Amino acid sequence: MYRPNRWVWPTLIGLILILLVLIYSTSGNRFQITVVESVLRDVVSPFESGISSLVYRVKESWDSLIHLQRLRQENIILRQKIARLSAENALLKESARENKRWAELFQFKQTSQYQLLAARVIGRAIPDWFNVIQIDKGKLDGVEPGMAVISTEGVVGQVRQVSANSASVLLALDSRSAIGGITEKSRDFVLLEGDTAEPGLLKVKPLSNDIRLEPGTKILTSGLGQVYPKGLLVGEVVKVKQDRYGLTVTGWLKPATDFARLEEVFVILDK
Amino acid sequence: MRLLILSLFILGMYILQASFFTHLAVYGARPDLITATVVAVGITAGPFEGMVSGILGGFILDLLRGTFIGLSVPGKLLVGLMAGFIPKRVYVDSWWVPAVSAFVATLLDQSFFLILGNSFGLDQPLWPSFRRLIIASGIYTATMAPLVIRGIRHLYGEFLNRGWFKEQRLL
Repeated sequence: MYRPNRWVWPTLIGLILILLVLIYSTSGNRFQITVVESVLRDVVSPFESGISSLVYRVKESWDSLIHLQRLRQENIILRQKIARLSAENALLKESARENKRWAELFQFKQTSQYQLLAARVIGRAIPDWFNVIQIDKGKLDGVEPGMAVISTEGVVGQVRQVSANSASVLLALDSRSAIGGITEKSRDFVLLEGDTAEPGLLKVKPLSNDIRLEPGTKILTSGLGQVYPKGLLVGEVVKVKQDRYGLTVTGWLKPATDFARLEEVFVILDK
Repeated sequence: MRLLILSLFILGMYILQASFFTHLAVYGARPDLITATVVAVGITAGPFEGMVSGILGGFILDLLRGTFIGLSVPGKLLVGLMAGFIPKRVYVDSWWVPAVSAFVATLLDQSFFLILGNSFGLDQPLWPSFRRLIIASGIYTATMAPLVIRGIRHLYGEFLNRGWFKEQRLL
């Protein structure tokens, strides 16, 4: 049987009080971080970046290996028919596959009308239900809180906190996120919010009662929220539900961006 | 020095969880390596040390996330404290003890986080989150726990050798 030290209870009560104040004061939308947080992030981000790069390389090598095995099998069949052409074909296919993704990204950056900064996803917030990612670009690269983040597919989210070499991005899927949207064809205004009850989907709230929303409707950013520029693809409505009186309609949108496989993103630098 | 090394170990676990295991997520869940570390410290070095590692782990996690700072601390503190009493009841060298302890600890810690978080406006539905992520994360953590406890035992063996830690230090 042990006897607790006489300082244990006052310390625990003090700790609980400090924690309650801390949690309460940091539970809202925070755009600024303290020096301690900034230093901690700057210490961690190079390691996260290094490990992520390593994993990406291993994944790419593994994919190449799989492709190579497939190509070998194809090659055996083709060699029987046209030996010389099959080798050349395999080589071209391999290099085309390897370059395709980067070429798409490069072309996207070239043709976009915004000033974009390419960034790599180096980590995700813990626990898993926080829809926040960590990117390898920060204050030194010109990233600021509030800037919009997109991918080649569509909207990704908004920069929240920035340290010298990294930044955290609140994904559009998060319940704290809200995006002003517009339907592609009928040009009706809607509000898009993260929905914790429907993981992976965004809730679509029409801003007036006479809006027609149906599955397949594409929704773009309206530009009214002053975070995302107008006209970026957010996604496609997959589900629509009317209230019991048939007066209001709510939709759910599948984002164009595949958040589970997000590896590279672009920060729109012109805020 | 001991706390600094323990903090670095926890930081290492955070980096692994946030970057490496993000690519190896199962049904969107990753192993909770920090909770596994807290449990391992509790089992290896007792309730006080488990509690301290829970406070350290919780704060490091929250400071790196940037929101709801302090929210991870109570749950981790509690599981660290509870893990410290496990050696009094069970033969801890059995292979299943760290695994089962880590599984239960993850469930407790994350449920605590969710319930407390929702009272501060976290806005996460309890049952879907529990079903979707916490159970998957608990199982994943349980598979990693035997490895983590080996690391922690090695670390505390070193601490003992260097005189930085006194065995059976209780509250």
